[in-house]
Amino acid sequence: MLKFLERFDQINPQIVYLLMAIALILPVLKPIGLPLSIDQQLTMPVYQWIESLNPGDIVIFDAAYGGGSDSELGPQLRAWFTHCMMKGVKVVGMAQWESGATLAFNSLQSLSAQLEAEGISCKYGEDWVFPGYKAGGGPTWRSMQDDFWTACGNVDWQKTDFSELPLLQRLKKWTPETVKGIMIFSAGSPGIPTFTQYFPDHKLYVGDVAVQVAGTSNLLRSGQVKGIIPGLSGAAQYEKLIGRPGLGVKLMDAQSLGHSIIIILVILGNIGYRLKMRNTQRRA
Amino acid sequence: MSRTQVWVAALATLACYSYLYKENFFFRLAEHTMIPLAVAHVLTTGWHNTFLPYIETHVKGKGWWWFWIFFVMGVLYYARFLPARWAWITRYPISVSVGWSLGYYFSLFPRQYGVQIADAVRDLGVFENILFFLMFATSMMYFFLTVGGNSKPFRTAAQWGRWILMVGFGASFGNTVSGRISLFLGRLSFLLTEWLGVAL
Repeated sequence: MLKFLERFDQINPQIVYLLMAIALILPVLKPIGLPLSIDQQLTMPVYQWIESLNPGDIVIFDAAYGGGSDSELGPQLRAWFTHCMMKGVKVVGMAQWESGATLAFNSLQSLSAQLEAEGISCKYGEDWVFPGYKAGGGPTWRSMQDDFWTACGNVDWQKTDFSELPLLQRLKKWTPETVKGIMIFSAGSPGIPTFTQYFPDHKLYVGDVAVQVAGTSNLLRSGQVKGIIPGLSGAAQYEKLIGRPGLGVKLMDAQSLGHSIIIILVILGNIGYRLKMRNTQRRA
Repeated sequence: MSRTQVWVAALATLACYSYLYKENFFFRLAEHTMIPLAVAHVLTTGWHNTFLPYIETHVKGKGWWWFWIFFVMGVLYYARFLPARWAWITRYPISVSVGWSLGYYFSLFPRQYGVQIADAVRDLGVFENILFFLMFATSMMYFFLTVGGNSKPFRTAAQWGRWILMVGFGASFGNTVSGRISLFLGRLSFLLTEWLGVAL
């Protein structure tokens, strides 16, 4: 037995990858249905914020991510956007990343068609608009507060003039009175600092990639952000909260099983290392 | 995505993951294709999403002709490729952009950190805040390398600080693993649903 455990000191990486592949692929094909708890400090405040809004209130989101983080932030955006549409909250989509604009707009276009088919009002121009990516960085975002239309060049992501979009008639200035909160889907830089720097008087919420959550938590404690949806698990939690389990929930079994395999291998690897060290010392 | 695009994306994904078995031709092909594609993508999107919209909406639309001044300044960055006699011109756009950025960012940048520094001062009547204070102080002591840093009490506290930092890094690493698994799951769901047509 000890000889067997000692072998875990140096496991062939290909075997580790194979184990991980099995642990991740099988639950996706055949979900196990592992329990999923809601994080009361991170995810719940985001849900409660949308719940507290009145139909017709405007919120803005920022798609500050790219293809590498779409698998985490895409499901978050879809769940959060669906919640807004279910509550009648109007959504304005911006993007600090060009790639984020493309990904978010394509995703929301297909989602809005699906929601419309289900009888949830999701008309472009009335329930949501997407000005998208605007060049210029921080100064451009700062100038949106004073004159949203001019800073955006008066056109949305598809070059439709703002004057043709009814929702934007109510958004000439980006102030805490006109916009009831900002949701930042962030994968890096530029991301959250743009808002903590230029929009400190606004209610800020974050949809974060898992790798950033530990770093963003201090903003939550200091009150600079009010809530965080953490990675894919956060997306799954949000889907569960709004009663529409989707891809996030389906992928969480694989996520949990993958983590379990890593924990077991770390423990076995350490046991193997200790045993090998002990035997080496004895021989010496 | 068209069927051809899905096939290209699926084969490129498999080529990337084939590295997990060993270094091979298909991985190298994907790797070497990725870099020129990324550069071409950035140039194309930059032209269509940044340059042209500014020309259409601001310069043509609003008649902000002075935008061309910034265009000329941008072009001057390339002056470094001119003969040495003229290469110094490139310093003008650099100095203007650095000076402007410093002034702009320094006027707003400290505020976001000021809030966090203020948050570090908490009422010690609550157990959680006492714990926070101890962790905060000992972690700071780990980086204190000057006068008094070698005394025994200080070194003991710094040792605790090191453990606390390790716990923090461990939490970050756990989240990193979670993020990487999510990335794989994203590709996996693409391969299963869009490429193979499996209903999830």
